[in-house]
Amino acid sequence: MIAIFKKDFTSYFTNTLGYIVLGMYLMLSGFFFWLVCFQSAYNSLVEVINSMLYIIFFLLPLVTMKSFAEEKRQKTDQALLTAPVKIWEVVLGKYLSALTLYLICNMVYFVYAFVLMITVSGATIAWGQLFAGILGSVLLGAAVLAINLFFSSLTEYQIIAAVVGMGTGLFFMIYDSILGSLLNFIYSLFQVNYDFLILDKISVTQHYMNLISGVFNPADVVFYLTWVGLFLFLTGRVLDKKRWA
Amino acid sequence: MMVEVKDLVKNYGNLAAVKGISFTAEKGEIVGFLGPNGAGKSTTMNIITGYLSSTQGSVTIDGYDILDNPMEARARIGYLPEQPPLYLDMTVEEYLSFIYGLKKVKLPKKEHLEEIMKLVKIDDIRGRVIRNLSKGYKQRVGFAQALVGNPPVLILDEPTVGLDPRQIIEMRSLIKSLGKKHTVIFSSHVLSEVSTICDRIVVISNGLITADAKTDEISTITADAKKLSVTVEGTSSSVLSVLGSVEGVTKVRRNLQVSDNVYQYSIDYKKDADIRRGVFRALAKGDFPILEMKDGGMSLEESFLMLTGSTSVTRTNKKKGGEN
Repeated sequence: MIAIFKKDFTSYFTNTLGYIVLGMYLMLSGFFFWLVCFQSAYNSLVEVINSMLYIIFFLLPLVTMKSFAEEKRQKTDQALLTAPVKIWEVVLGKYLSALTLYLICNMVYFVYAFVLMITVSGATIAWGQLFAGILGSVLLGAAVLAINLFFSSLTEYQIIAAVVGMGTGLFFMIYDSILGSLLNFIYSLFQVNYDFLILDKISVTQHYMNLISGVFNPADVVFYLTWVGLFLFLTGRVLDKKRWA
Repeated sequence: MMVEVKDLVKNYGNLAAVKGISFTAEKGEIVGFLGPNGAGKSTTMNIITGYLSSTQGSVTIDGYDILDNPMEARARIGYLPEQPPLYLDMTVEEYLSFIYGLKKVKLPKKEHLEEIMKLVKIDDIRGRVIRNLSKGYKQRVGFAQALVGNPPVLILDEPTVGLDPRQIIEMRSLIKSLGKKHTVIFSSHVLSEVSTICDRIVVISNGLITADAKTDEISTITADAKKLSVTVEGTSSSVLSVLGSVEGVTKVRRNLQVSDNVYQYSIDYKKDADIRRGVFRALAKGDFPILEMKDGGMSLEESFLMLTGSTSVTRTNKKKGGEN
């Protein structure tokens, strides 16, 4: 597993993909940081993290698009899957390398906090809120990476994995508002409250909002971890199934 | 028994790629997998290495079943697939180092990789990025990858395809030398290659084994027809009639024109007869000089075509009726 982790993580930086993702994340978060903390009355780093939320749905598919698609296309998966390595080691090695890249992206918020402290006199950093925000951002990103890794295992073409991943990201973004209007519509028709449908509970973004609201609920963390576990498991199944096809 | 394959069947939907293959390979044996493209060679190799599953049947490596004990079995196999599994943006050294880690090899890393690079002669290009290597070098790096961890079984899928003649000779002698310590199963559709390297040949055609024999026996399997090839100077029609009159001859054919008024003929004759003296006397009598005479069973090429069911075999008793 360590060998695969190292190989994948290194490859982010031997081809340009790692730099592109890292650069885009820094550039956009820097822009939001400037906008939120210096150009408006808000002075909250969490607002910066919130803004980045919508970016990662489009950025993270780039991180994992190659993971399995490229291995299959170059037939290097033959080396991985005939080595004395278990499938979960392959999946986890690749997942952790992608997650590590994303963790590095998130480290930038500490830099922004530092910048705020030295440039704005009398600025106080709400550390608790900031940590909750970063935790939420990492967990949400972890979930998005897991589902995109799964997409990469389904195809030989990295571009397809990326496009499907971004489409899914778009769906996650508008899920809440679609759901809201849908439930309202149903309510107006039948005068029944459909809260018992757990549709709002599986919203990917909702649990993030809960996390940064300041009330720590383990259920929100468990939600994301379950999501990650589910898609890593499915990825493993896809790889395993291929040999039975 | 190092490799034991039993009743292997692989179906892709309705298509049967492998229809029941069984064979074994002993320790230190080089087995050649021979067959036309699409015969099921690669599929069989992919099943042996655990990359694909079989629909039916079992594979055991050194006593470990590839499905029940995949880790133990796979640790004993070095696999060079048809397309070497190379990461193009790595250098040769980085790549082998990754494979070393991937296979969880316990041998001393530096010495082991050094030894392998020397063996396949890539130590002078170790720092180069694989993408920029020639086809021959890429193939050798792929070979090196299979050798990492010093596995007792080597599975090589068409290791010489795409190499230039000198590289092919080097690759063959390398395989031959490795065969002293390892069990090697390698596939090819080049007959001369298989016959020079292998101890045993397994011929696969259409998903089935059509022959499994020691290399020197394989041509005698099919050699129930005797034939003689002569090159004679003289008008071909009269030579044909002279040859046809020799006792024991069943059929004479003119093959090709060697030069002006010189033709090559092939003669089929009865199994227990020896017609060489008769042919000499008959031709000498008619003053047709014999420039070359060659006796022999079926060549390996012809055996191959016959065993793999090609219709272009003409010189066998079995197919006598189906000429041209």
